[in-house]
Amino acid sequence: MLHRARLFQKYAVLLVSLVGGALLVSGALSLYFSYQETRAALLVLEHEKAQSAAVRIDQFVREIERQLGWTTFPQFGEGSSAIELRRLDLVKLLRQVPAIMEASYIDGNGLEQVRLSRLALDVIGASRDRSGDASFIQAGKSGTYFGPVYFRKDSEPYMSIASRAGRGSGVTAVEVNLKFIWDVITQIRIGKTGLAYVVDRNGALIAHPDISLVLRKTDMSVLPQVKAALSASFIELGRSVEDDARDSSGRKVLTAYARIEPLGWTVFVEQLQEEALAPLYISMLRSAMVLLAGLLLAVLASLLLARRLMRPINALREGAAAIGAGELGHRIDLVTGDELQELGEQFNKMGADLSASYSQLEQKVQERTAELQKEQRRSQSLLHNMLPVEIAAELSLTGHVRPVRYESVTILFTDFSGFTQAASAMPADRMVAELNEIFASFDDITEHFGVEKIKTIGDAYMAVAGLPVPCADHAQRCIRAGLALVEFLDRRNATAAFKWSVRVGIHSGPVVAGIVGRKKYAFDIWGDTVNIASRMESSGQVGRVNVSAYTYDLACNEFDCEYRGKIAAKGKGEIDMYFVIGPK
Amino acid sequence: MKRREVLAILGSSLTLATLPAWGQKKRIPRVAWFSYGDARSVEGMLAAFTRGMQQQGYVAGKNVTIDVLMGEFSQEKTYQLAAELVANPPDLIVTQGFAVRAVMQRTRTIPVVSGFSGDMVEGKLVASHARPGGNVTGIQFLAPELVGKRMEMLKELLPKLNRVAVIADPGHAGELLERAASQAAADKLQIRMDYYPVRSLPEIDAALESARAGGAQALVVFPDSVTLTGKERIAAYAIKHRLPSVSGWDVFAEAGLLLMYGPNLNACWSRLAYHVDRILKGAKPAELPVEMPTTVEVIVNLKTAKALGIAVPQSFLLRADRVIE
Repeated sequence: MLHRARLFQKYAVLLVSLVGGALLVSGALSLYFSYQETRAALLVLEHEKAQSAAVRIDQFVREIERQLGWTTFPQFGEGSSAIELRRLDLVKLLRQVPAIMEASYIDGNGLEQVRLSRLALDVIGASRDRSGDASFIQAGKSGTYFGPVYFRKDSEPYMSIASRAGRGSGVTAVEVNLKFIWDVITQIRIGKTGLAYVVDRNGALIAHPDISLVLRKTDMSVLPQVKAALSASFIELGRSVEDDARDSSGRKVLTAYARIEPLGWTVFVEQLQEEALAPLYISMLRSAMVLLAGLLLAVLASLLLARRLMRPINALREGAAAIGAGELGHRIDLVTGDELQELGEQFNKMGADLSASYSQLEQKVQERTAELQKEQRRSQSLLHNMLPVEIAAELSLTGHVRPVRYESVTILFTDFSGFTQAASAMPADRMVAELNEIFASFDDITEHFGVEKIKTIGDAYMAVAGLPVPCADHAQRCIRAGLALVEFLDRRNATAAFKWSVRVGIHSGPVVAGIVGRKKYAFDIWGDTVNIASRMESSGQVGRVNVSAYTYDLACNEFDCEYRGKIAAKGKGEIDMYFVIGPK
Repeated sequence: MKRREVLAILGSSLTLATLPAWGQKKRIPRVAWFSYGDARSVEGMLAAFTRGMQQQGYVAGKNVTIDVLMGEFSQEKTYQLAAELVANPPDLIVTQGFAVRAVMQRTRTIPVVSGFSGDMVEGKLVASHARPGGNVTGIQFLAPELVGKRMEMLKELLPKLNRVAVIADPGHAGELLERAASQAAADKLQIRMDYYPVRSLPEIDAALESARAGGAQALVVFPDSVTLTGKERIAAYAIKHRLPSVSGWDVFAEAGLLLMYGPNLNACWSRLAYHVDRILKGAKPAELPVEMPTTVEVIVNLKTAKALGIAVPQSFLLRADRVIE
């Protein structure tokens, strides 16, 4: 699961970054360009609107200028009739141009001859010296004089316009209510929020669709775009590229402007960015949605891909794990029709091969083990045949056997009588076969009575009881075995071709037991007791068990014996001897 | 009822621009029209105002209620109505003339949109034209300026004129200013001016009689509620007794007065709806500049001139915006 998550993550990151990146880049690029284009197109449109407004405002002013023109023609005649004519001119002017609130004629000397007003009483006759007025001084110097914008009652925008007919002649000066420009300005609309406004050279608002802003004498020069436009040189007229252009309530706008020469006014056309860029926002939203959908698709696709890839991979992983855990019979079942299926099949083949070689190996190991065990058993039994069990154990454990002295053991000797004659009369191989058969039976009998065979010397047979494991009834064991040997031969003689008779001698006493030599180990016993036991045999009688007084002493409670008296034994003087009659 | 309203608003104005306002405008705004005169005297103004409201998108009874309160030319009743208005304040009071004073005595918080004959700054209704500063704004009708011009026009038409009678309601707001302005103009024009107050319709006849008896050669009728109501009577009397007359509102000329010089009042009353709209949409009257008419009209009633035997010269007719024949 964790691994799948990791694979999924990798795919997700890859696909998401691929799809998302592509979508983002294309979206961002198209947005960037459409933003630039929309913006540029809007600015062009605004600029055109501003220019057309500027033209119309210019026309408005030019019309006043033109109307002033004919009032300045020199009048012929003097005195009151001339003044009356002037007055009539001004009456016509007022009638003609509603924006003119006041019109006056100043003669060449700077004296005001006539002044007509829509509000104040008319003044006729030279009553006021206006030779110091800007209207009088400036008019004609460079065409028509356009005074600065001023505010009547501190609220309504007005401007003086004055015109002179020729050098030294009179001047017609009018006061124009600039609220009339409002009509021009309100006709300009872009979208819902787009509007136009006019500021004078100081940034004072002259016309705005919201007339209250004008009447409040709003200073527009605080707006960044107005400030920039006012300080712009005449050459770089046109579009405002102020990024932080704001409207009078501080909202962001797209704006362009146009100058009105020679008034020094500027027409601004603006539209709320919010509205102007609304289509852009919509397309941005659309792009965002496409992006989101794309990302979602990418995530889904990566999930699907991860899942589709994970199922076979999981099967492979589990299969490999199973095979690794020794479950060689496991088979991966994959039908994907691609490299993964191939991989699965190869896994299966590997498992099968492994399984085959493993079972072969197993069989070989078993065979080898059995052989080994068999071999081990054989060598063990060989050793046991040669050595008493305990001695063999000590030898195989430590590699050597310490000679041990046993204080009380009983030794049994047998010897066949007349063996030398028999051996010479009988073929050697027949002889060996006879001996082997008889001694094999002796081995069985001694083993049966708990007597350890030591060795055979020619036709003599030597065994001992009471070692290597000491026991209390070693004398009895030897007597029982001796009786049994005699009895065995008797039985054998009854049917066998060759009749054997045997002497049995038994003696008890201390011996030293051990192994001598490096090769062909032989467990043996040494001591005078062995010699006496041998003398007991040689001093005995055929078919009888001859025991020493020492042995008799140990076993007399169990066996009836016949005292033979002191009998000379070769090299040992006289020894008390008994024939065993049988068990009590 | 409510659901239908909501549906109507949703249906008519499901645009982004109006949606935010919809949330705030569950309540229909209540506008009170408050006049010193009677129904007849304000008929024209109210009609013009209602037209203006319609142009701004307001339909009485649908998305605005307009209560009309009339003082019936009674100062006492006007004061009482002002008190009632303040006790149960509407969203906005539209008023004019004497009623402005009555309202201003009572409240400095309820927005007031007013038409005013005189100068609102001099009349102490507002602190300045650009920034009224209080709860009152509106349009001033240039009366003090124009009253002099009217007298001047009479003088131009009748060069021998040296005695005029002023017929005016002394209770009219700004009447004092208007009277002072006309006096100053009369002095300049070297005309003697006699003043004949008319507080109510019945006083008009007596005033006209006294004026004629006093030797008046022409009548200067101040436009106010009382003279408005009695304009036909004044016109009839003036024609009958060959008295040239002048006033400030077009209805006077239409009624038969010889001359009219003044702003287009219908336009002004319509324009007041703009102020109402701005204030209902959250603008403060203190920040809404007082406006003045941009155009002043001259009307000559040639019919009356003919009746009076006055030949109006072409130079005079030049300036007439309208001629009644």
